[in-house]
Amino acid sequence: MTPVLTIRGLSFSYDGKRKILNGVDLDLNAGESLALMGYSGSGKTTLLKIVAGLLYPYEGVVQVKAGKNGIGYIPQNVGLVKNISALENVLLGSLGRVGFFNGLLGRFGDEVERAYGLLEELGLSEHADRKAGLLSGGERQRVAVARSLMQAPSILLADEFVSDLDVINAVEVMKLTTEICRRKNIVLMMTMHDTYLVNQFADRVAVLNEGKIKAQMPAREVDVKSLSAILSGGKTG
Amino acid sequence: MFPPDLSAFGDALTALAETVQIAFVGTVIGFVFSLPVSALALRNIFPPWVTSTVRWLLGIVRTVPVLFWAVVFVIAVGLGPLAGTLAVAVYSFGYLSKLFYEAFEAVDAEVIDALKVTGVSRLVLVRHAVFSESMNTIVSQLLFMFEYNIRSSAVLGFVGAGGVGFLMVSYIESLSYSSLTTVLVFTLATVLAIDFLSGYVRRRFLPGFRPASA
Ligand SMILES: Nc1ncnc2c1ncn2[C@@H]1O[C@H](COP(=O)(O)OP(=O)(O)OP(=O)(O)O)[C@@H](O)[C@H]1O
Ligand SMILES: [Mg+2]
Repeated sequence: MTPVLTIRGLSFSYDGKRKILNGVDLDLNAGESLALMGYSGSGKTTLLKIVAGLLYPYEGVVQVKAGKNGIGYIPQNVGLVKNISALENVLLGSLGRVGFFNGLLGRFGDEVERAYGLLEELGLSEHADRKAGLLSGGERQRVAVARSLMQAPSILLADEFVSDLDVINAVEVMKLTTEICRRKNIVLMMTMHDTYLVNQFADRVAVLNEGKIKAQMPAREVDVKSLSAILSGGKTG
Repeated sequence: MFPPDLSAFGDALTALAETVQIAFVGTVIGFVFSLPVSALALRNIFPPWVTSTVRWLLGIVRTVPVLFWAVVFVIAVGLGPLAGTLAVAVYSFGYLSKLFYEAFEAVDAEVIDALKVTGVSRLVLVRHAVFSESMNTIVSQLLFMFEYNIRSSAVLGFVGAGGVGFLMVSYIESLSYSSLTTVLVFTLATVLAIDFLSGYVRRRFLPGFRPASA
């Protein structure tokens, strides 16, 4: 399998003293969806931000095989602009495609049609003109997914993007997102807490602990017991 | 001082109109310059040498009171409303820039992160992530600045920088206290009217939004 993302010996510190990441090795293959698990504070968000190119400098190698602007990133609290509409938020995802002046003037041309198309795919057609700040949690998550897809990414990084949702909504959003990503051949890397959702929607799991990937396994094998065994240092590999 | 001399009505109105113009044009000019400059003070978008330089310069501009700017511009461009307008513009620029970059800094860092990865340039990023998110704050603080400038423009005439203050000084000097009363009453009425108007705009367009006091 061709790796789309290769990480070798990645170390990172915010303050130059405490190493949040300390020798992370991880591959991500084409067509795969990976769940990154680990304690709160273990550095999952940090790792995603580094892959997204938002945090530097770091030690080690992070190699991404993706086109221009080929990495989509959905932050932990989705990061929508609240006082503009869902559609306008989705359009912001194509800012890197429309060029400087069009971007500055907010002229999106053909991208508008694509945005409507994505909103429809995510079941948001009727919410297109509503202010993002007035949308429900699940609707906001889906708008954020649509915004990322506007970039036509090769990799989509999603930081706990269903953690705030009730289980019904979480399942729906996860289902839609993983289906679309599979269809468009987008690699998914998600940080997640919920083992049920991991079982259902991820292919593989990587467990981050003490700055390293402590274990990797097929997602369907993950349960709370095996996780806590890994995290308490019992089992590796 | 009583009764007010109503024959001063015409002069008072003309001078007050000039004061309102000084405040309005000065606020607008200050605003136009403060928007881009305050964006340059944003630490999560621009490099440290840019943000610290901008913040340092703004700090200096802000320590100078508006009356001092008025004196400077009277010397530079001569007596009259132009000096007053420039003074109000520079003062507003310093003040609004500070209010704006503090508001901008409160913009959700995640919005900026999510848009950075799209490959957008910094300027476009500022326009869409920062300005859109802060639009209510921008409008609210602009109104506040205008109200404030109406008050401060009223005294700019004391140093010859135009507006109603000049009339006040000349009535004091000629001991025309009844006329002075007329001018004071109309000035007070104008200030109250502007406050009322901007209060209305606030309630109508920014419901539930409280301005940061300065
Ligand atoms: N900007 C920052 N400056 C300094 N330290 C930070 C910063 N951001 C995060 N940290 C620290 O780095 C560590 C890892 O944080 P990170 O957000 O990556 O964890 P996480 O695994 O995503 O946690 P959670 O599951 O709670 O989201 C934490 O101890 C956190 O306090
Ligand atoms: Mg996190």
